[in-house]
Amino acid sequence: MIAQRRSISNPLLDVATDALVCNEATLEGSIKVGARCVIHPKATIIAKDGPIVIGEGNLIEEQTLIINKNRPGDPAENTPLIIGNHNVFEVGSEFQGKSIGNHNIVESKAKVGTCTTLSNGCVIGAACDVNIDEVLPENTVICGDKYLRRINADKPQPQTQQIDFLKKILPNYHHLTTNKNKKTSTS
Amino acid sequence: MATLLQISKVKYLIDENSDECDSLANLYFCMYCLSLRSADVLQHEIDSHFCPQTLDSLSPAEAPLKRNKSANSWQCPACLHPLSTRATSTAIQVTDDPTKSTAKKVYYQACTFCRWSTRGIGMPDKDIVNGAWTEKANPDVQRVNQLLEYYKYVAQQEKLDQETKRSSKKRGYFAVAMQLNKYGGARLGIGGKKPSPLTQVSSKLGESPSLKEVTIEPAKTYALEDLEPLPEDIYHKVVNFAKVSSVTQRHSHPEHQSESVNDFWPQKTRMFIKQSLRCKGCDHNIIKPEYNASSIKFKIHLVAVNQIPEIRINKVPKLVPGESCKIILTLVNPTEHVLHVTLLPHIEEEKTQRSNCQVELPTSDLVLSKYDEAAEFIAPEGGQAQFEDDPEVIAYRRGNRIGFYLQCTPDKDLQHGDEVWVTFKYKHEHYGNTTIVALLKGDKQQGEPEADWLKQTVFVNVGRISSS
Repeated sequence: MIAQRRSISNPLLDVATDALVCNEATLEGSIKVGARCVIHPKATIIAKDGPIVIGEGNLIEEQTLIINKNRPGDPAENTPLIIGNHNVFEVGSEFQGKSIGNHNIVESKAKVGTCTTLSNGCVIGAACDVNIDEVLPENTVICGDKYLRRINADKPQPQTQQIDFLKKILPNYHHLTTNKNKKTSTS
Repeated sequence: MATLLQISKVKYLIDENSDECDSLANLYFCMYCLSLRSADVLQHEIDSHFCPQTLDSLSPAEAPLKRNKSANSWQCPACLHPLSTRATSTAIQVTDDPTKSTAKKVYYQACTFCRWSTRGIGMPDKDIVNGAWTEKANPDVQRVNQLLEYYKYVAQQEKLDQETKRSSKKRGYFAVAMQLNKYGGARLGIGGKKPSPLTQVSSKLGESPSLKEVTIEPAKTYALEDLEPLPEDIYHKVVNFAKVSSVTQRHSHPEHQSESVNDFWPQKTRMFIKQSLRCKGCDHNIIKPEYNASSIKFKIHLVAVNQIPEIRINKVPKLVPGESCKIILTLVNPTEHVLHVTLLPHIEEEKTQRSNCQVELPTSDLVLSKYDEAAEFIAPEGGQAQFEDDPEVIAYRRGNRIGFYLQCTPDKDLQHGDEVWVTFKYKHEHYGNTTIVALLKGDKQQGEPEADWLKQTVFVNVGRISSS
């Protein structure tokens, strides 16, 4: 229930009109959620060392943790974390990096540390923990227990169908957070 | 679970002579020879080949013809995960009217694990779900076929020579006739009825050599000087691992072994073998798999855990050299009969000695109630009272298991950290398939089925010595 209170009472939260943010998600600090985003209940987004700007059509599933966190040793500047468009953060994933482009997928239980930057179309496979100081080239796929890398020919498809479905189904079972939290809609 | 966790702690003697022993979980039980069998002493046979994805099965004769590969299941060349067929619709132009287009369903294959897809390598989408996919042709297929043919020829030739040699050793005038074989191709049926030498001679003389000689060009060899030198930057160039295939990936595709990830091609899933095990002593099946997933006709699964009362370690106090202590072992009855178990001392030979502990075994019989599948749903009360347990011997009784005390004294010369092994034998009843046979025959008068008494020798690692 703490989560519920936080996301309702966060004055720095800016949710686009057609984005869907569940009340039970935890959103702390200055966060901007772009159009057609879906944030599931129990997802946690914390703007700790600077604001977080989430682009369009991102899907952030349950138990995801996104933190804007400086690298250890970095001066505490107020740099924003900019998340591009059409990214998918699957159940239980963790993203602590400073930048992520478009069409990336962070699969279930995968973890991207503070040092790694995702460009576009990258896939971090289930349970892969990536934290090397690098910018992953476009369409990189990392998967398996040996972290095998491969460059895919094209980027993953955006999950538009899934987002449309969720936008239909989630309001039936969850309270939603709307812009500036001036009102909480129920259905 | 305890069976699996104590896999190296409780071991059963399989063979008296070789002193071989293993955990009950790894053993089989031949109900015809009435003895334990390890996987090593059983004959492993190929029952059938089957595809784990499509659950198709093939007979061992058919499988090599299909190169042990599944017909409809494909695997990802990048991560060896099964590929799944995806359907998508594309717009194609109507031939009559270039301005109009219709949607058409097409299929491609994609890996759900590493997101590799047939589209990525530029493979065209297919119109049908199955059957349209092909494997990359093996570039060396011709050479392989030539070699196969040649080896067949060599094998046949060798067989022929061997038979001639064998027959020429025979005595008397037979030898003369047999010598003729050499020039006429052997016709001696193995195990078959031997034709008379005279007919053999006549038949051989009229017969032309049946073997057609096959010649083959040896593969080209290169001298070291002929090879192209390595590029100069080979040791300095940074390898992009994301674009180069790994060793595992190359080995999974031995005929191509593509170096670049762009040359990956979907490959058919390899078939697995369903294995059946046969006792070498009596030729009976010990394990026989189902022919396919949906048929449950009969089951022969003679796993030792289902037949032999099992010893588990329950509670062990601190083990001190030379000091007597009471350990609790559990005895579990997996059968549907009440079993009587008698513990007996085991006298070991010096050289194979495993135990380093004196044991005092309970002298009375241990009675184990039968295994009841419904036991966990019925209240635990009742049924227990029928056994008059000696509290000095029986620690507890729960369903088909009992705990019993064992007085043991680790040897005096043991050091701190040494493993303590307890050895004993136990004798128990074994009701084989006699009840099943009686049931099948419709014999109702038979009261209690007759039991065989089996003896097991067990080595138990009860723990390590702790100093004082």
